[in-house]
Amino acid sequence: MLIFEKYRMKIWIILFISLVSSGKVSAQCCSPGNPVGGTANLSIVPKQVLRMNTYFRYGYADTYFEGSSKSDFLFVENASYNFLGTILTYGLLDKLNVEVELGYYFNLTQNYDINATKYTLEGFGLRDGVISLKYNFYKNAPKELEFTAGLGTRIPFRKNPQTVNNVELPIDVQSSNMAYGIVAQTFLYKGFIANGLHLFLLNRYENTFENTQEYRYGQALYTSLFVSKALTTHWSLIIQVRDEWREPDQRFDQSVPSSGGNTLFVAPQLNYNVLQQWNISVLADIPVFRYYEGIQLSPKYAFSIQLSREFDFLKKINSANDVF
Amino acid sequence: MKHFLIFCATLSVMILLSCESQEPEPSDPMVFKFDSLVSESYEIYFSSNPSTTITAYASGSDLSYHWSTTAGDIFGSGKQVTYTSNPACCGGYQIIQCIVQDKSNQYDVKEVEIYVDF
Repeated sequence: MLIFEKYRMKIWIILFISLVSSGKVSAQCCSPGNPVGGTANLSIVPKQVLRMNTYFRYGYADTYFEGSSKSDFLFVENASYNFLGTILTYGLLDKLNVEVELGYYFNLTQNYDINATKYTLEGFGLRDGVISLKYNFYKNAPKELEFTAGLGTRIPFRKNPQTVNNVELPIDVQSSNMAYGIVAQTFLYKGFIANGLHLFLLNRYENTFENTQEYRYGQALYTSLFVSKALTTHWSLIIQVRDEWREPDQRFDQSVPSSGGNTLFVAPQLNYNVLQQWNISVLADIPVFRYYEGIQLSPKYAFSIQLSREFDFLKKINSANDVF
Repeated sequence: MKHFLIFCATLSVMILLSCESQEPEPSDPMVFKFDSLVSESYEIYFSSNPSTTITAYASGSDLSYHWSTTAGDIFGSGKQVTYTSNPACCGGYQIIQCIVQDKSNQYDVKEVEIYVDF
């Protein structure tokens, strides 16, 4: 019990950093995808504690895949994005948290080479927000076992497509899905403190409704398994294996060819803890297996750097009372 | 003499009216009109001609051109743009819409349909 308590904070720090840096890189016909940094299932924070997790992410894609094989098809020469996201989690009760996910794309860029003529399309702006409630259903400290689940809603900040110079951008470089949706998450933790190992299993399900353009993104399921190992007092290593499945999108109630599929990622991550308060982490996202419907531009790699911290307001109030 | 004067007056009136009606209508380039939306090609094939140029012909003052499509990519802006589409995801018939608007917010809409295939 004491050992668990001693490592408890570190576990959560490692966990949420891992989660924050995990990115959804969904393959569609022309996009490197959208980062979902930190969306996934972080566990809860205690009452009146605020957890802030801010991250920057860069993603790149330049190769088409057909099924699970590389394709010589070339439409978009390369695509990339720069994204800044933050996740705020606040403890309403000891077992109940509210969580808000926000993010901004500095750019979503696609470069084309069509008949030796170069073109570029670039979108930017706020990504859809997500607000969730999370409840800790089970926690057994001696057994180092915990289960948390959450349910939330996706809230678009934009209802119509972005236009640049009065020209509507294609859906692949839109920063928003332009639709409401449902997000469900589960989180399972099992620790092996004696071996210094921690295992986390996360699931995130997303169902996005049809937008004003009569376009509906396919349902998506993200499953991540994390293994973390403390290297020193300050350094931790985390290996994440993540599967992303997505059903084909729909446009005008018809399935969009070359959308939907499966991507398996391996994501090594290194974390550094500063003064037991701040955590800095870097992560690389590397796809190791893909299977796509039709021909799709596949993510090649992504990098993230993130910063996180918890603020205990209850502790501050108590400290203030102590003074007086 | 009286009849002659009446005849001259009638003739003068007729001549005046006749001259007025023969004057050409003043052509006003400021009058808003969206004449046509024309594509260089109405079928694009990825292997041979993967893109097409679409032009909006309109007259009026301070015109703005707004472009959108059911699927595909539009490059450029203004009265002429280039359209292309990835046939892997967005083949078949796609509609490109152009809205032309003048400074007094008069507007008109036209569409072209482009067939996209490999």
